[in-house]
Formats: sequence, structure tokens, C-alpha cells
Amino acid sequence: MKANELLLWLSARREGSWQQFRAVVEELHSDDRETCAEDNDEFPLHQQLRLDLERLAHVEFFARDCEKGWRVAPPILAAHPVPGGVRGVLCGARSPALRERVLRAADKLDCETLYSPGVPDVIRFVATDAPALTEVTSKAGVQFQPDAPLAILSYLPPCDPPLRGSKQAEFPVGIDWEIHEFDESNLAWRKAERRHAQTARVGMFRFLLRYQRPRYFLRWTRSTFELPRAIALYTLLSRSRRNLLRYDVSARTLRLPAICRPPQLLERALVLCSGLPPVYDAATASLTYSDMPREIASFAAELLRQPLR
Amino acid sequence: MTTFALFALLGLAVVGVWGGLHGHRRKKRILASESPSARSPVSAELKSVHSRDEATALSTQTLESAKLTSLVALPESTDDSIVAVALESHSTAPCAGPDNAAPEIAADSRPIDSRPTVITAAMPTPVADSSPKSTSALETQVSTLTETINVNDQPALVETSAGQCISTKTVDEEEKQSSLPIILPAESNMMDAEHAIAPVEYAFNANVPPDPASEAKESSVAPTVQADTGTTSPHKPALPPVFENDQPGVDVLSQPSSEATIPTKLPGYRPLAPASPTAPSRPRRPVNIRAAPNANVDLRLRVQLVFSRSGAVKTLALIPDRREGMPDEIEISGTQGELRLSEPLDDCYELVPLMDAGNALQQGIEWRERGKVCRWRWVLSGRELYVLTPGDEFGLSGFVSTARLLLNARHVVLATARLRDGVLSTLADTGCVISDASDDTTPGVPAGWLIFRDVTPTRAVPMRDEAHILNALCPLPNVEPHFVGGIRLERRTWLAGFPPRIRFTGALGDDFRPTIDGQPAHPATDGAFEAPGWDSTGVHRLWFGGQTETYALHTMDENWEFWRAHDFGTGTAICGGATYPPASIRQGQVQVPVTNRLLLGARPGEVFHCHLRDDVRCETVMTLVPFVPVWALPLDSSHADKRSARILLFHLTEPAADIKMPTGNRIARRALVAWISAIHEAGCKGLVLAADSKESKALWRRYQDAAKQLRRKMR
Repeated sequence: MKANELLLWLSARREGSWQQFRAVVEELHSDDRETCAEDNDEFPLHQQLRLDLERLAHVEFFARDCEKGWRVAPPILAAHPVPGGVRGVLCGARSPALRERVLRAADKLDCETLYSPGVPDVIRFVATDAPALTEVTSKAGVQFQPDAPLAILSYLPPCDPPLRGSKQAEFPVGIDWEIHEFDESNLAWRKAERRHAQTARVGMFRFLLRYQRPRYFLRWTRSTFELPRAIALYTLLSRSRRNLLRYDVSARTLRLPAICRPPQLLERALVLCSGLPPVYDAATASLTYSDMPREIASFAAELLRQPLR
Repeated sequence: MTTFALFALLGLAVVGVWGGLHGHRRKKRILASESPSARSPVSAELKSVHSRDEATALSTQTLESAKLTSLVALPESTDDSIVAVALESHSTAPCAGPDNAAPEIAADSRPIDSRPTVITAAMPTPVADSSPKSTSALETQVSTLTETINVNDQPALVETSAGQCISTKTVDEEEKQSSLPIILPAESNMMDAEHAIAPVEYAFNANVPPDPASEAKESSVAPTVQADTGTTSPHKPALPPVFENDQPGVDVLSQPSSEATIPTKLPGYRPLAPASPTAPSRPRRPVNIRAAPNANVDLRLRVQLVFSRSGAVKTLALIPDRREGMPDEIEISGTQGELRLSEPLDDCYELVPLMDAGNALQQGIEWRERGKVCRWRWVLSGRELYVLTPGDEFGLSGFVSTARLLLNARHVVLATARLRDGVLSTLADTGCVISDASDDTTPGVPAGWLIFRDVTPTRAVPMRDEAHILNALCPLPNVEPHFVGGIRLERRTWLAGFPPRIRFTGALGDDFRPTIDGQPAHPATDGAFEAPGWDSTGVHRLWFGGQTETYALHTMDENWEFWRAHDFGTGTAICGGATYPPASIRQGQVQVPVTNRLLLGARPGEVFHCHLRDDVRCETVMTLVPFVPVWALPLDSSHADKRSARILLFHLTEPAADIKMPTGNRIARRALVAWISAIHEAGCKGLVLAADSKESKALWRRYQDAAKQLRRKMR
């Protein structure tokens, strides 16, 4: 229920700073009192909530016009074809009244509200065709996005190496930085020396400083670029084209190693196929995205420059 | 004649003697104004500044137009409290610039003849345990100051304004030579710094018509304020105690004093004196009214403590206070080196992890803004005992340091190992059942410190000696309301449907009868108080024990707007779960298989050729089409493989009948030809429809007929 309240707070405030977001996460979880509100000490709760809200297309973080914080997206029924019809997932801002209106408008449709830990309630409807969903959105006063996963993927750039003219970066200076290099073969981080990072022809390096966000650098043809983690990682992995992505036709699922989480917007497209965040399998350390049409999985694999097996 | 000459000589002598005496008096007056007077309530500094101003800025002409616009109590920076008085040539001109510039910077941007002249007066050192003064005493003090200002017999209007018109330059110079002030808690009530300044404002109210801001403040002003200052050791002094809810104030009430009043040793921890249970508590600030940023004041550093599930201390951090109007980021330096405070919350900056906590808590911490002008300073007084209360009321997790124990509320006590027995016995007196304390073998507990958990006092106990450190463990019987939980949108505003729980701490007694909007409130099963309609939308008034608090419940405004959150240069932006074409283009998004990239509309001439992305191989593309597509055909039907190629139908839309042949418009004619040719070629090739229904077949036939007729017309 905390994630629902968080989404309501975000919807009411519309936009704010990152610190305000962290504070409200603390506030809403403060009744845990002495017990730490975070399930995983390694991964802070506010980061977990932020990523889930971003994946489920409720809130934008650090995007244009909210570079230092967040801004809630307008409410949208994101539709995508499913066997037997079209399914719409309610995402974006939410108010108690809006939720009520949507549920009332869709009372003739196959409506389901799914409770998933750590994320706001997933409200989705299945109709025989898109016009039925359009009617719901017009009644409830929300926007309609047909083929939402494909639409998002269609406007995303692939994970290609930086162009020659791209802005180069320099590694942060200071002995306090912990440096790790991504091991392509083992798909794991290993400690590295600064000298190695500076001289490597190709590689991905993570610079960590306590209480600061990690910074990721891609060494590519002896040049250094600072990139988002997933972009740098898949650019590096595009050299080897390992079989990272596995598609199960019968189950309509896409599985990939958890350490190779795709870029944020691409993952949003994958998540909107079901409306649910990926399931983490601790045994295999992998993420599974459900209700995935093959064409979406193929498109995502193309953008990630990975073969789909 | 002789007599006349004698009288003339006598007259000259009298004039000479009179002139000599007069000259001597004049010299004496000048000397007196330049030498410090031990008996004068205004110290030499004011006079020196005044004489400086006399020599430079305060010409007669300037003074005639000058108005004393601000008198601000500065609670920090020197051994003495300081009251800065700004003379401004135009009373309407603000002393601080709109961009929050320092007063002198703002002043420098104005013409010289309109710059405010600032006089800084060192006020006498307040006596540590002086009793609160009456308003008349305050007025006496102020009138003395006014007299000093008006030494040139110039009229001066006096107006107070918190957070404005402070001689930061003068203060900074003094601060360099000064040590930290020792700030002792107010004896009556705890209050904010804004409140601390308010009595000065009261004192001048007779002279100045109140502005709306000050009027707003008046409703929240406490009647008396007192804080004490002193000196500390110049060699890395342990910071004096500061109450968490106390903002250091300035004792403008105290009698003139000199070095004799400076304490020779550091005072101990001095909590508030116990108040009568029947005495009304401090007046509260009205909802959503916040004072302007008050430069040159001490801000609080609170301690936050968060436990992990295992019972270890997960987080021990400092919470720097922030006031409205303070910048988003501040470079600071202090006991812990140089830092940048950023990402502000409503009332505090980002939490800063506490390093070397054992020593820091005992020695105290002081941060100052870096730069030429030090406008703000944060202080955590060093002490051996901290009382922490659940942070949920402040919007923080874990526990946050506070002044003292509250009755019937859960706390954590952080104390040095030396105080163990004293803490246990005192807590036992308050009705707490403490089995044991976590020592520094528990991960995260500072070295040499103990943590007492589940401290819930149930009875008020009298305090010991005024300065005793353990007085922080003596809860007062005062009744305090607490708004806990709900979805809080602002300080006292919650989202309708998600109200806070209203709880009280203190000695409630059997006759405790709070009301909400005039309706008697009763405790619910969880102990929170409710009354009929207490959680309805609107502003509510909570009354308890002669005090009033307001809270509001608001509904949500649903006017959310799209913005171009992610734009990768394709012209179409992504925001949330939707994509948005450029605002100037009125096109619809269509999903098209790569095999059928030629789209036809119902109106002849509506032809669209989808372009494929050259960087990605995909089975379908999303494209923006300027019309509603009806058919999707292979790009070149005549060369398509008829075994696999299909005609796709998007919408069952009849072909437009009222077609006028374009005349003189080559582009339109070419489009018309392309529309006709596409249908004709697909028909000649014998491509089949993907949806093999009667309706679609019939529709396709009608499109073929329409194309045939147009073709004939064009011949």
C-alpha cells in the first residue's frame, strides 16, 4: 500500500526534487520505526521505488524539465495487443477520483487490479478491440496510447558506440574513487586500477565514491565516454553478441541476466507489455518479462544489439 | 570713559572665558563620543561605527531623508549579541536584493546616495540566568538604542524586519575575532529564531505601522525570548548545548553588562523549566506562514538515527535546517571539512552522514557558509546525552534528536557510557522500563556511547539543578499535539482521504477534552483522537487545553500535463507510457508491417510511403501518417511475391466519392496517380487480402472500381 500512497503524493505534488522524493519515501515508510524500511540493504528502497515508478511509466526522473528531480506523467491507458484482444494498462498520475472513474467506465470490460510488492496497484483492462478501450478513456478523461510498447521502442536509439564527434569525458580525479571494470565473459564487476582504466582500448568502468551515485565510463577505441550504465554495458556487449536474451515462445517471456538490465525507456516498453515489473529469479540471477510478443522482443534485441535466442 | 573701558575689558574677558568653556565642552563632547563608555548601554562599537558613518555617509542631507528601516537581532557571531540597525534612504527599498544577495551587495547595486547606511551596535552580554523581561523593559532597551541612533537629532523611523538589513560585513569582521557564543535554552518556551526576533518587532510597533508580513508574524509571536551568550575556549572548544527546538535568540532585554557577565566556564545542559500544566503552551505559527530567510542566524543541526533490522545502527546522520528563501545549494566549511549542502527539502537540506560520531557528538559541530559573506551557520552543541524521537512527524525515518522526552511517546536515548547509571535511574523515575542498553559493540553505535531504546516515559518528574544534563530526561507535563501519518502535501495540509492521526503527548489527565471544529474529539482504538467530520475536505480547527491548531485536507487537482520528457531527435517525444508527435504536426500513429509500407487513405491521392529505420531491423514500424489509412500494400505490388504478400485493411472506410480532378497542381495530380496505380497494380497482381472476409473483399472491390473510374477520367 505504501507505493500507492507514494504515487498519490507524487500525483498531488506533480513535480519535485530528488531529495523530496527520498524524503517522502522515508515519511511513508517511517512507521516501520526501528526496522529499516529497506528490504535490501544493498539497494536503497527509494532507488527501488524510483526505478519501478519509472518502468511502469508513472513518473519521469531526471528527464527534460525535471533534470534534478521528478515529474509525474499524465494518466494514460497504454494499450498493446494480446491474444484475444487488446489490453490497456493504466499508468501515469493517479488520484482517488480518477481511479474511481476509470474503474466505473470499464465496468463492462475484463478489469483486473494486480497487487505487486513495491509498486502501485496495476490496473489493466482487456477489450476485444481498441475502440472499446478508447471509449473507456474518453469516459474517464485519460489519454489512450495504442501499441504503447512498440511506439516507445520505435523512437529509441540503439545501443551503438559513440560517434567520433561525441563529447569525450575524463575519469574523476582522486584516490578515494573505487574503480571496477565490467568483465564481459563472466558478466560481473571486478576491481581495476586507474592506470588500467586510462590505458584500456575498450572496456566499461565504474567509479564509486561513498554516498555518491556511481559513474560509468566506456572506453572505446582509446577514447573515454561517460554514459548511462545500461547504454555503456550493451555497447560493450555488442562486440561479443553473447546470447543474453532468451525468448520463450510458449510462455511469451523474455529473460535476461539481472546485471544486464536494459536501458530505462527500453525496459519501460518491455514492462508495458504486461503492466508488471520483471520477476527476479535469485537462483539464476535473471529477470523475466512476461506477456511479451515476439515482435517486441525482437525489436528490443535489435536496439540492444543482441541476438534473440 | 575709564569706567566704560573697564566694562569693555570685563565684557571681553567674560566672552573669552565663555568661549573657552564652550570650546572645552565641545572638545569634551567629541572625546566622549569617541571613547567607550562603560556605563552606556550602547557599547563603543556602535559609536565607532556611528562616527565612521558620520564622517562618510551620514551627511545632514542623507540623514534628513534617512529612515531607520530595520532592526534585527543577530544571535551569533560575537561575544555580545548584536543588534544591527540599518538606515535606509528609502524605506520602500529592500535591503536584500531579490536574488537573495547579501544586504551590502544589494545595497552596492544602488546609487550611492540611496545606499543604506548600517549601524551595528554591540548589545550587552546577557546574563546567563536572567529572568525574562517585560515588554516595558524591552521598550526601555530599544528606546536607548533609538536615542543613540538619533544622536544627530535626526528623525528616524524604526521598523523591524526579520531576515533583512543586516550588516553582514561588520558581523563577519567581528566573527573572525570572536569565539562561539554559548547559547542557553530559553527558560519559558522553545521557539524558532523567527520568534526570537519578534519581540524586537513588538517593541517598535508603536512607531511603525505593521506590514502584512509582520502582522502575520504577530499572531505567532511568543511574548518573551531569552537566550544567553558567552565565550568558549579558543582552542577547539566543545560547543555549548543548544536545544533542538531552540533557535538561538538574542537577549535584548538584559541589563547593560560588561566582561563581568561573561561566564567563565561552560554551562551544562539546561532544559526548560517545568511549566505549569495549566499554563498555556507557546502560541503556534499559523498554517503555511513562514518567515523570510534570516541571515546571520544559527540554524539547527539535528541528529538522525536509523536502525537496521538486525538492531544495528544503520544510519547516523546530521540534518541541516533550511529556511524558506535559502539557496538550493550552499558550500559550507566546518568541523567536518568542506561540504556542499544540496537538494533541499521543505525545511532541511540533504542529510549528511556523521563521521567519527563518538567525538563529533561530544565535541559538537559547527558549519558555516563558505565565501566572502557568511550568512548562515549551523550548530550542533556538543553534549553527552541526546534524546531522539520518532522522525515520522518531521517526515523522516528512524529517530530525530529533540530537546527532551515527551510523555507517552517512544524515544531513543543516546548517552555516553559515563552517564549509564544516571540515565537508567532517571528513566526509571519517569516510568520507563529499560532492560539494557546497546553499547559500542553493537555495529554502528559510536565508540563510548550507549543507546537506550523503547524509552516511553509515563509520568512527569521534576527537574534537578537547572544545568543538569539529565534534565533532558525529565518530561514536561505539557500537552502537545502530533499529526502523524497520512499523505502530507504541505506542512499542515494532507490529501483528502488520507488524513493524519492526531495524537497528544503530555499529561492529558481525565479532564482532557479536545475538540475538532467544535465537536468533542474522542480517542479511537489506536489512541488517536477523532471527531465527527474531522477527516472531511477543508480546514479544521483542533482545540485542546486553551490552544488551537489548524490542519487542512485538500483534494487533488487533476490537471496534469504532457511535456517532451525524452526526445531523441526523431521529432516524437516520449512521456510516461505515451509518445507525442511534434505539436505542429497533426498526424496519427500507425503500426505498419515492414512488408506493407504503402498506405492508402479513403480519399484518392492519400498515399503515404513509410520509411524504415536504417539502424534497426524490425518486423513492424510505428509511423506518423497525415491521414487515416485504410489499406496497407507492398511498396511495389507488381514485383511482390504473391504467395506471401498480402493487402492489409486498417479501417472499413468507403472511398470518397466527391473527387474533383486536380487542375494545375502537379503534386496533387501525381499523388492521385500514385493512389490509382497502387490499387490497380495490386489488383492486376492478384494479391489477396490478409483478412479474408466478405466485407473487406467487397470494400477492396469498391476501391478498385473507384480507381478505375478515376483512371478513365484522367484520360
